[in-house]
Order: sequence, then structure tokens, then C-alpha cells
Amino acid sequence: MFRQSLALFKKDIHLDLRQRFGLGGILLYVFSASFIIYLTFGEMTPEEWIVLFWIVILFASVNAVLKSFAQEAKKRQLYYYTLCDPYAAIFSKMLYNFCVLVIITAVTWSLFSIVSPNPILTHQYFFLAAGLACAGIAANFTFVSAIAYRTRNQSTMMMVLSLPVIIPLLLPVIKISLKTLNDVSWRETKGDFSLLLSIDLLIVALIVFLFPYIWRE
Amino acid sequence: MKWWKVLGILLILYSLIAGMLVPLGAGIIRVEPRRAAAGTPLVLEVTGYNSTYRNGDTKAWLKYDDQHALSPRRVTVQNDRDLRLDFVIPKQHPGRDSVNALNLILFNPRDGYSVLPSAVFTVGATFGGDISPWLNSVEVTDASTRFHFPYRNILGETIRNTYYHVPLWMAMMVIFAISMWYSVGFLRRRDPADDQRAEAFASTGLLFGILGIVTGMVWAKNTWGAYWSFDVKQNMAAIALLIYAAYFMLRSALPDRDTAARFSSVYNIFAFILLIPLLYIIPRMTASLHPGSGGNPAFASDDLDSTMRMVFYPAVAGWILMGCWISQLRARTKRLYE
Amino acid sequence: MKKFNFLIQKYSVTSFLILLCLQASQASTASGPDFMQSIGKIYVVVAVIVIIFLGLVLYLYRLDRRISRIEKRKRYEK
Repeated sequence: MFRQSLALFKKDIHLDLRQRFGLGGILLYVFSASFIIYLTFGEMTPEEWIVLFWIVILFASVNAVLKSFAQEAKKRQLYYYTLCDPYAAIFSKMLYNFCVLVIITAVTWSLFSIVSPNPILTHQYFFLAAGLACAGIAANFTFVSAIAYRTRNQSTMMMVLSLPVIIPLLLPVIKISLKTLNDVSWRETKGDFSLLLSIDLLIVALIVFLFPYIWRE
Repeated sequence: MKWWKVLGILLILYSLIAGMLVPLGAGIIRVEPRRAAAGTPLVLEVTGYNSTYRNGDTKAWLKYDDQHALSPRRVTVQNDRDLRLDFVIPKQHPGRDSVNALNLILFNPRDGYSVLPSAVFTVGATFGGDISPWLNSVEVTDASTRFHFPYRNILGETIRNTYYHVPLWMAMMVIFAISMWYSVGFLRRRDPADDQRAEAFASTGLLFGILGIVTGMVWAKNTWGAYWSFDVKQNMAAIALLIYAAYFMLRSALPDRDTAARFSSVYNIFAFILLIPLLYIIPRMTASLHPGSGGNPAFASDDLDSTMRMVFYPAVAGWILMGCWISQLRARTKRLYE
Repeated sequence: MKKFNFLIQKYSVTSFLILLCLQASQASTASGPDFMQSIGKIYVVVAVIVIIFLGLVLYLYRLDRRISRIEKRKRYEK
């Protein structure tokens, strides 16, 4: 199964590098969003910085994941489905989306730091929270796009269907981000981190359990 | 299957009648004046709610803390609901603040005790010296001789709403759980009747959720001052309803019936399991206006009196049964339309 | 038509009484006799609520009967 996942993962990367859309489009989106924010807000207060940061990441990831699903032709998808183990497919997709999301987060973070001075003091907690959030968002959007792909209006359905996950995911993340504006100790953020981790694990467990039912055509 | 429907009706009728007719306990609704200068006599005019001050020996205290309380020189009972208390506020107060808040406690053998926190503010207090006037203990026993619901300040009579607003929410959670159960059954056995039942229960759950939010808004307007206070639990409740509205959106957006049933069942399970941290864990993490939040467990013995439990639990059971009846009717109607 | 007017009257009276009771519970100085009267009128409120609820229950019951009849007919025809 691992070899299949790895193979699929490499295939996704190759597909993406070949097309000029894909990741490039998403990064362009991030650039323009950051620029608009710079024009509108200029110097941002720390809270604005964090909130806008996460909003940009959320919308960019919706587009990114949806695009990755829509890229493949339908017949080739059927071919893949008959070949692979469903778990291999979903894991490779989640891993790929996670990497895409990490890149998006990194780019957004650098852009925001250029546009307005980075207000975050305890960096390591912010990065840890961002990493966990990316994992959760990637898993969630991969799953939801598999469902939403078949519906008529895809992107709206995707946002709407991800709602039950995004809220319990984003709330602790934003709490931690706001806490990292000051120097915080591990003790203060421990509760939020454990909540984040448990939600991540819950999402992954649910996906592992439920994905085979979507898979069969 | 008939008996449980009748039982549901009877339980709800019981909660309607008993919930509205049982009187509240005694409370304090007016104290005048609210401020006093330390070292002067103070005449308090007190008006009670549902009180029977003429019955037996009515006692009063102005309480500073658990060890210090002031006894009045004289208690004049004007009628069942009005009292006149003659205090002398000493200049010396225990504690270093010059402004203190004293709680008013009344006790009557028939009513039990009633409290108005921070009833009187004393200004110009000094510390140290003779605090012997303060060394009284508040003698209260918990029991009163008649059956009543607790009187809580700010809530007043609206505490009866606990029998209608909260059971709707609890019934909603149970009904959504049943809906998820049928979704699980559908994914295993692929019987379309299971999916229809899941959808029926989800729609009834949505109905109860909307009723719950509307009753909550009416209650909030009366007690918190606004229809929507952006309280955490209110927001989470609205999000829960949006999630289930998304379930119905998904059903209509999918092209054919089989995929619709399959995908919406998957989403139903997904949504319900994630609903639990949303509605129960997150509100407890943050401070909120709702009772039972910000660290306190919901419905601790503090929030739900034993007298209230007698009407509350039957109401919850009654609404669950009603919800099951309504969902069953919807599911059967859907089957007939095939 | 007459029944309708009577229901309207009952509704307006009881809603006025509900508002009165709500006011009384909000720390206003209601003097003795009026308050006791309004306590007595709670029975009217409860009666109205029970009537509404029983009306809804009756509607559900008749719906249930109608559906059972159609189901039985379907099963018989099969």
C-alpha cells in the first residue's frame, strides 16, 4: 500500500509541475490577496494580522484542493480507481494536499511578514499550530472535495460541507495564534494543542472509516 | 407502536401543566435604599416575591461573608410581601475596603431562605477596631414547607423556560443521533428505507433545532437584553443548524438517488461525530452567558434543582418520543411517494 | 365566525396577562391584590397552551391514521 501511495504522490507532483495552473495559480492568488490586504490595511494590528492570515490560507486551500481533484480526466480517474487500494489513493491525496498547504502557509507567512511587521513572539508554537491546522484542513478538504466533486456547484458545496470541521479546527488555532502574540509557556497552550490534535485525529479516523463508501462507484 | 406516542403526548402535557402552575419560591425583588453610609442607621424597605412574611418568624441579615453578618435591630412585617428592616451599620467593617457590598438574606420557616446578592453598598467604612456587631451567624435551614421551583434573581418566572427550551435541544441531539444511526445502517445494508428514515429524523432534528434557537432568543431578550448576544453556545447552535442545512443541500445537489443517499449518509455520520466537540467541548472552554459554561459542568446540582428535575426529565423524554413520532410519519410519507 | 372572534378575544386577553406577569416578575412594585389576581389567571394561560398543543396532537393523530390506511391499502393491493 505504501508503494502505491508513494507512486500516486509522485504522479500528483508531476502533474502539477507540468501544468502551469495548479500550484502557480494558487500562489498567484495568495500574492494578489496579500497585496489587496496591504493596500486596504497598511499596517495591521496583531489581531488583524492573524485573522487575515488564516482567512487567506482558508480560501487559498479551498481553491488548491478543488483544483487538484478537477485536474484529472474522468476516465483516467476510473482507471486509477480500479487499480489502486482506496487507502493508498486517499493517503497520497491527503499527503499531497498537506504539502501544498504547507507551501501556501509558508508563502503567505512570508508575504504577510513583508507587508506588515510580524507580530508573533513565540514562533515555535505558532508553527506547530499552523502545521496541525494544515494537516486537519488538508484531510478535511480532500475528503469533502471527493464528495463535492460529484455535485453541481462544487466550490460552494465544498465550503459548506467543510463547515463542521473548519469551526472546531480554526477556533483553537486562532486562540493559540492570539496567545503567541505574547510570550506564552507550554502550560497555557497545552489545552488548545491537545484539542487541535484530537480533532485532527478524529478527522483522519473518520476519513479512514468513511472513505471506502465514497470510493465505490 | 402506539403506546409510546401516547406516552410522549402525556409527558409533554405534564411538563406544560406542572411547569407552568407550580409556584416559585420566595425571592427579593426590591430593596430601598441601596447605599448607606457606614456608621449610620439604615431603614431598608424590602419587597419580596411569592413570600409569606406574616407566617412565622421572619429573620433577616446583611451578610458580609460567611463569618460576618449584621442582624437588624427590628423587623417590621407590613404584609406578606413587604418588610421594614431597621439596621445600624457600624463604622468598622471587617476587611480593608472602604466600599463594601452586603448581601441581604431573608429567612422564613414557610418560604425557606432568599438571597439578594450585593443588596446594599456601604461607603466610608474603616478597618479594625470593634467588629462585634458583625459576629452573627446566618441561621438558615434549606427546607421550606411547600413545593416550589427555585427563585433565581434576573431569571424570575422565566426559569420555567427550562422545561421548554432545553428539552428541545436535548431531544434534537438524540434525534440527530438516531438519524446518524440509520445512516450507518444504510451504509451497511444499502436498504433505501434506512436512508429515508435518516433523512426524516434529520429534518425533525432541524425543526427542533430551529424551535430551540427561537425559544432561546426570546428568553435571551428577556434575561440578557438582546435577541442575539454572540454567546458561544448560541453561535455553535446556529452552526449546528447550518451543518444540517448543508446535509439537505447535499442531497438536492447530487444527481441521482443512489449517490445522493450514499454521500449524504457519509456526510451525516461525519457531521454528527464532529458536532459533539462543537456543541459540548468548545463552549466549556470559553466563558459564556449560558449557565453551565466557562468551566462549570452543565446542569450541575447548582443549576437544576431537584424540584425542577421532576418536570425536566419527563419533558426531555416526551419531546424525544414526539420527535420520533413526527420523523416516523415523515419517513412513511416518503415511502408512499415512491 | 363567532368562534373566531372569541378565540381572538381569548388570545388578546391571555397575551396581555402574560405581559403583565412578565412585568411583575421584573422587579416592579406590584401591590398585593393585583398580583394575587394575576396568579389566579395563570390557569387561563395554561389552558390556552394545552389547547394549542392538543390541537397539534390531533392533527398528527389524524395524519397517522390516514397514512396507515393508505399503507394498508397498498399492502392489500400487492
